[in-house]
Amino acid sequence: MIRFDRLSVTYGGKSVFANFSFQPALHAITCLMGRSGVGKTSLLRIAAGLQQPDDGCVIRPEGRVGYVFQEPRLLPWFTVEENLMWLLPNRSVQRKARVRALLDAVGMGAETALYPAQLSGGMKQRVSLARAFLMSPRFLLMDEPFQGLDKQTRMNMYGLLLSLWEAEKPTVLLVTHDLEEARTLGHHIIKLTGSPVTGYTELANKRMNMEDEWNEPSIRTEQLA
Amino acid sequence: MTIWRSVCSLVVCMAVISGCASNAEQSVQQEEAIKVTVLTPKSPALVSTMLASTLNDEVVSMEVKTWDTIEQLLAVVQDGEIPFVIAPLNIGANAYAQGLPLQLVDVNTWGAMYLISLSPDVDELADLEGEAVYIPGRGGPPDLLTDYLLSKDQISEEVERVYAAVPEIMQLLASGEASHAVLPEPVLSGLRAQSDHLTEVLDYDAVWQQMFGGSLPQAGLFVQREWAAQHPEAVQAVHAKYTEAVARIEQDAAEAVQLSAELFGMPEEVLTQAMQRLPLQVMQASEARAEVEQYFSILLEASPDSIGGQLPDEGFYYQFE
Amino acid sequence: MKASTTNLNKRGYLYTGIGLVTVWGIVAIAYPAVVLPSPYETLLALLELSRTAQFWHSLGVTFWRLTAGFGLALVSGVLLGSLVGHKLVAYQLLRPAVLVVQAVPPVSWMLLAILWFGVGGGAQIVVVFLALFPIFFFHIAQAVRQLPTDLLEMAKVYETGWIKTIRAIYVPAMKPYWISALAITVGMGWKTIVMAEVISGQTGVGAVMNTSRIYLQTDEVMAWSFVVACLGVVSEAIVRKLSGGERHDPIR
Repeated sequence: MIRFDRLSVTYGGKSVFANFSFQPALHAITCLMGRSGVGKTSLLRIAAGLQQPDDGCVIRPEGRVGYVFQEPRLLPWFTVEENLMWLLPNRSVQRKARVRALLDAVGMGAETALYPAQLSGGMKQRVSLARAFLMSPRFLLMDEPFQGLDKQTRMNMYGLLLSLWEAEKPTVLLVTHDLEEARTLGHHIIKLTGSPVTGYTELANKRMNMEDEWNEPSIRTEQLA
Repeated sequence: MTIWRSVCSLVVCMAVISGCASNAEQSVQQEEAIKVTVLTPKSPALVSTMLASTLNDEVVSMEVKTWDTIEQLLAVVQDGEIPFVIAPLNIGANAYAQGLPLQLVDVNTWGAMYLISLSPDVDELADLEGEAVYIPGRGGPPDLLTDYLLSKDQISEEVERVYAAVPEIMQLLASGEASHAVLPEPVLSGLRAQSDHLTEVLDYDAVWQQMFGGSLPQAGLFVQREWAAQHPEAVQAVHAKYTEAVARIEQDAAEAVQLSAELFGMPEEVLTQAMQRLPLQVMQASEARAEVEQYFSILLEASPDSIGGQLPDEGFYYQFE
Repeated sequence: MKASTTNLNKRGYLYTGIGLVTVWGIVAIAYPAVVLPSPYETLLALLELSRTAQFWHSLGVTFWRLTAGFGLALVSGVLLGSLVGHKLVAYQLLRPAVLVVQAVPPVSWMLLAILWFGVGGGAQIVVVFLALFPIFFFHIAQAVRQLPTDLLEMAKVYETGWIKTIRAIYVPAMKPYWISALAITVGMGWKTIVMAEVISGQTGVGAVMNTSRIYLQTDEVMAWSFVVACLGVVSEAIVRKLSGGERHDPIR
């Protein structure tokens, strides 16, 4: 299970979340929407353990986390292929084949030997996407991952995300500004409300209580200040 | 740097050409006094040089400049503009051996070197066993002579030699880091004025007199050979000025001390004290040759390179007419 | 393209070298050897020196002192530099002090170090240390402050483990600073240690140079200068070669 429990977050003296609780559906894609600056990125960072809330706690599922940041965050001194390779355990068999397959899937099969500086913004973002799927994450955080991609690529990415999701059924939190995108991808669409954020409204819910079909994974609790 | 050198060499060439021209003019109008410059280190000879420069004379008018490093000295000798330089005898001989056209006119600095100790436990050379003696300049006369004298007493091995420049030695003595040192006058008088307990362990001049029956020659007045050949009367006049200056100082040092204390950077009283301990004597090179060669032969034996590998020949000693 | 510029570079060095030696040789004709020895005389002096035991012994002594001073500066510079890189307060406290250390000319340090540590050899090491320490300190502090936090966050999320993180992020991100610090310090170290020994050396290259100097053996002074310059250049080249960094040419 994953749950944000009575979160309070202040950022630069400004209260961003106040007593905010939210439990995203497991093994489903939840799209997060809301005004820009409302704290969607903060929520993802807290979910990933990169940021601590001032009060409240986060319960996260056990297992690997994938994160598509707003920026690609690729190692500039590694090639596209190396950027994925170094994350995999050295001894894992056929890691090269897996990396190649993923890069092919995001349409970067021909650019594996290039360095990030030689790529366009969209290409870097695709590598970043491939990296997120690489470790078969149980929990995938995506912060406006398709921003800056052209329409065709975006469509391809949607397909890719959905097929990858089909294969592994990770829990996905996807921040987006694009309602169309949210409708295409999201099983749930959530809009954060209030300033500071105190609650949310559910804009859409395509699936009902899917999580009941799944065994509850073991949980990890992080009790925070 | 090389470009700079070539520019310099051009400038020097032009200076030499124009210098020759002006020399020719000067020999035509003999009545006017020849202007000469004497370049001196800040050593005892500075005192007599300052006084000599004030003595009026129809033949030459003297101007004084000082040098601090060997490089400055070499540059001036090479440049040829300044006819007279005062330098340690070994450096003069070495420069002569390297082909620089210098001739020794007078020996004007004698002795004036002491091995002193600030430690109350040290009275004589034997007490220095196992101690460190600070010496100005590795391989220079103070080093070679100290080694020579310590070897004579067969304690050369037991005394540690540490090398530093005179200002550092003074500081190390003041801080207590060092307690024994070889120092020349007038620096030593400066130290004497500040310390309550100072023993003269070795007076190099006294030892020298005992051993060789003469004073220990240290430094002298040198002249550029070509210039001297063209102006023998000027060399004679400069020599006469020095002789007179020394005679005056022996009667009363006050005037000379007043003229030079500032250049030394020490109080007049201290310099006056130092003057009482400096054997003043101006001796023509040809007369002093035996003493000088005695001195050189000791240096030559200790370290041939210190005087250029051999005793200087006849041409090193200026002959008065 | 790259290969050809490198080639041109090498040829450039060769031509410049030949040109300088030629000019030196021509100018030297006008001067006695005691003022400006010719390249040939300098080479002879160098060959003569290299046959003496003192030459190698002096080099050994100087090299040992350099290594000691360099090592001290490296260890303390890296430790303190990393500390202040992480803690801004520590940086603000230490920076002025290190700036003062850096602003004092090495010659002044030398004179003071003689008083504090004597002329035995400790002073020279201290001066090398004081000259090199600020360079390591500032370079490492800067390197730590410039660590890419976004990449470190990414590594944390992907649970790469600290060994991989150091190898893939810390080392490459800090590498330019390392190379720069090492290249500056090895070259500067040679010059500083020899300067310190000239001022007050009982032994070592600087002390021998000083003796050559007062004996008016300018050819030996020249030969030694050449040796020290070569050692500085070679040390720097080795550092760059080992670290795989090219010499940064500001014109290009």
